[in-house]
Amino acid sequence: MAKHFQRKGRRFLGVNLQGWIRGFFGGNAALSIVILFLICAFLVKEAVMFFPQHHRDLELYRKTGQEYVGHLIKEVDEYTILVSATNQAYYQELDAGYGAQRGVVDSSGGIMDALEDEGDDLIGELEDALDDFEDEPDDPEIAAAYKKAQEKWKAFARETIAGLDRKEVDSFGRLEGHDDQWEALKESMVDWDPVEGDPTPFVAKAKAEMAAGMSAFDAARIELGSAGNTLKDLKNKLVAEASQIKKEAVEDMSAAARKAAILEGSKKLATEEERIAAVAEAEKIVIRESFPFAEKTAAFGESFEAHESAANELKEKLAAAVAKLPSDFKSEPAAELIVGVKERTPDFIEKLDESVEEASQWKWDAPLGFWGSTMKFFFGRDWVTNSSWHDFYGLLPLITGSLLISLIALAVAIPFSIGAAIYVNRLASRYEQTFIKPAIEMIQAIPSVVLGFFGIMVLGEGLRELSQIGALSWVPGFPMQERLNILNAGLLLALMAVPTIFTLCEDALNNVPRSYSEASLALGASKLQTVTKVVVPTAISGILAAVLLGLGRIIGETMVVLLVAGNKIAIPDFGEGLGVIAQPAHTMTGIIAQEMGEVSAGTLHFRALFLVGLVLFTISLMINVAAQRIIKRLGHA
Amino acid sequence: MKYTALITLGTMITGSTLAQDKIVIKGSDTLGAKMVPQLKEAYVAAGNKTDFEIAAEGSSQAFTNLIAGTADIGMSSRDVKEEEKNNFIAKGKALAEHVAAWDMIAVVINKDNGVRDLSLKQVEGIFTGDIKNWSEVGGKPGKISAYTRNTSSGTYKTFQKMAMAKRDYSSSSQKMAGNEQIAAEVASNPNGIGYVGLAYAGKDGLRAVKVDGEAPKPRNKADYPLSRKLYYYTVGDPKGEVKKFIDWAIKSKEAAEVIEKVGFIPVGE
Repeated sequence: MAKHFQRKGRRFLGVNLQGWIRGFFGGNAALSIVILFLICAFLVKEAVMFFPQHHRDLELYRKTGQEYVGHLIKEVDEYTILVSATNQAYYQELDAGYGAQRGVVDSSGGIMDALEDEGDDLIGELEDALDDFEDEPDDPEIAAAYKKAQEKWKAFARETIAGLDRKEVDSFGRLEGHDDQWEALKESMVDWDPVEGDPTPFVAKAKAEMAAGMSAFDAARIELGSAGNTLKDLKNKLVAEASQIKKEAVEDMSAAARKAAILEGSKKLATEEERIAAVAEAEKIVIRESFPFAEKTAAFGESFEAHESAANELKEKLAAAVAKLPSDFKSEPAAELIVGVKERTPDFIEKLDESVEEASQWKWDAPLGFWGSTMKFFFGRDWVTNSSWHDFYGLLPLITGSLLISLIALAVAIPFSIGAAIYVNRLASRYEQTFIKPAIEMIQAIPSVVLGFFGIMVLGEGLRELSQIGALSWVPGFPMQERLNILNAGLLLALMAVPTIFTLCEDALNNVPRSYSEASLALGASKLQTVTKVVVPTAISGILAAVLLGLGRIIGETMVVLLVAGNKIAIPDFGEGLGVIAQPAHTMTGIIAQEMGEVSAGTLHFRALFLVGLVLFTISLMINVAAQRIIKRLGHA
Repeated sequence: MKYTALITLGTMITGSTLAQDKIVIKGSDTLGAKMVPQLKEAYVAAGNKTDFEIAAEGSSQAFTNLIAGTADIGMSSRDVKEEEKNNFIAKGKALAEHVAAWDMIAVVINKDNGVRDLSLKQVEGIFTGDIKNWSEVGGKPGKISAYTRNTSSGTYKTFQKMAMAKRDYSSSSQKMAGNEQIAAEVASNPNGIGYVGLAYAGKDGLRAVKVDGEAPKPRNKADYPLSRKLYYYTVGDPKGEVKKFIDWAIKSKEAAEVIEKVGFIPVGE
């Protein structure tokens, strides 16, 4: 062939055809390397530029006093958890002790609404008649008219109440099993006076019973709920101030440019009026040498004392209120909740003291270490974007989500794919081989967005329904509330990883020299012994590499996790043990896909997403390198 | 972004030849997903021979495209920001605002949930995470799962402003891609709560709660705490075909019917 080209000897630009073909392939290879390099360079550039920008952003967070106010926000949030738990306990106890009474009171509200909605005109008539009657109580005609209006109302009320849907009125089913109460309530509501609007005696009695039985708990609960009012007010006030300072500081940064742009643009405006208005607008913009942070944030320095006294007030009132909480409960969950509140209160108080102490260390001009701001990214626990307060970029919730989902996927995929590979390669008949292998490899052909829909509609719904079965409640995480969760995403990713691991694993098994297994069989080992003692150990490096490459596939998958993982940007609550798998989570790939569309190039958010991409890239690269190393080090398979 | 670039390129090429009989409308996906495309169809069906190009990529795009001259009408689910207005002045352009319709954000819960009425304060508490359990708002005990739009949605921000006193969403809230997804999750989760456009509030398995005693119904548009105006924006007062279309879309009876059909509330009502 080569000779043929040479003989022809056609040359273009001094290179013959063979040379051109060679150049074409070589050029392609070089071009893809250059493109790869450019992609890496772009990724790294955008990602690395995140750090100085993030540092400046955190500096601004400190200078504007938001960092200081952040302590108060956290304190109030922690306190709110206690309030929330106490309220939950109160209402559960109320339901356990006075469910019927509560049902009566709630349902009476529903009935009143229905009567008022439908009987609007009649109530008007009744009011008019009553007015007339009050003006001239002695006129028999007016008295009769009033009486008639009353009767008309009653007839209407009776009819309306009879037509009510009990489920709609007693929407929580609190009167289920209390038919007598329901009937009595309906009867009593016929006599309800829509003009005065007071509850009927029957309802008032239920209310009084409820109030009497729960008064001590209710008082303690309200006391606990209002213990933090001073701190909350202070927080709200400071949040508003810090937000304002931040707004001014950010505006200040672009003031000169904005002013110039408006002045420039005003020249192009059509009418004189518009021009004058634009110039006036521009004149409003003040340009400063440097933003007076010290002066603006002076108020925060002065609020240290107020903060401390508010915290002390909270501590005292909280302790007093907690002491007043009851200790006997009819409801089991309520008892647990209150025990929890009582146990957590000392911790909370300790944390509060620490936080107040830490907050008082705040200085607007304290230097911020570059290392510290870098670590805030890698170990930050919050990822909050598009916030009206401050955007936080913390990787931890995303990376934990990604890793948890990958772990589950691997745990499921490994036994299935390795088992299948061993079976197909060593144990299956020829007919089975021709059927199983293509079938498994077919999975790879399913687009991941289709798998995602399958995950939502079939797997998610199926798992959730399965988890509601009482006999399965011992399974960690069951019953599941969400259908979009870590487990669901993990299972789907496992399905996606199976073909990769299976194929590579099968290759590794194939590469085990025939003589090994034949020798083993000749020595009298059974087929199974040969597989477990000879074939698998020989191929182990290839199997490990297959698993790692499967992991690489899993961790980089985007569409499935975006659709199915539930997109909750928080570190999963490991307090639930293995039950953590039923919680929703967010992932590194998911966040990039979800938020990339909204950010403009060059912003901090944009770069943060690139940095997440770089982290992802690094992880994948490490996995691939590890896989190759294993193959090289451990063996020939 | 690539998409925008392509469209921009496209309009640059076609724009010069079709200039007058083509109306380019860009911006909010709240308006651009259903309402404006259906208005367009009704408008064309009514015998108007106008070409339309509609791209729904978010309210901010309305203003960037208007400034760049790549759109005749900008759709926005919020009113223009001060700095956006300044951008227009900087280019020597004036911005005209037209109220297109009213939108209500309905707070929806699962139909098996007995809660009928929430105060705005309670809604704030639920979405910021202060309130964690349905028992705290009168319901049966159950951990609340709050579903929200994702951060790129205009409704995400609007809801934060109208219902949450601008506070941040709780970190346990789940970010969904669209109304449809929120509706599907809330309908499948007895302890779910979310917010959707009025058009989605009537879906199977959902119930819209009253907020501060007001039901999300068209007649309550002025009183319901979570209702907002939707806008068309133009550079200067609209002229020619654009004016004809905007006048028709805002004032005509046919347009009002379309607006109602897609779940918004016509301005006239």
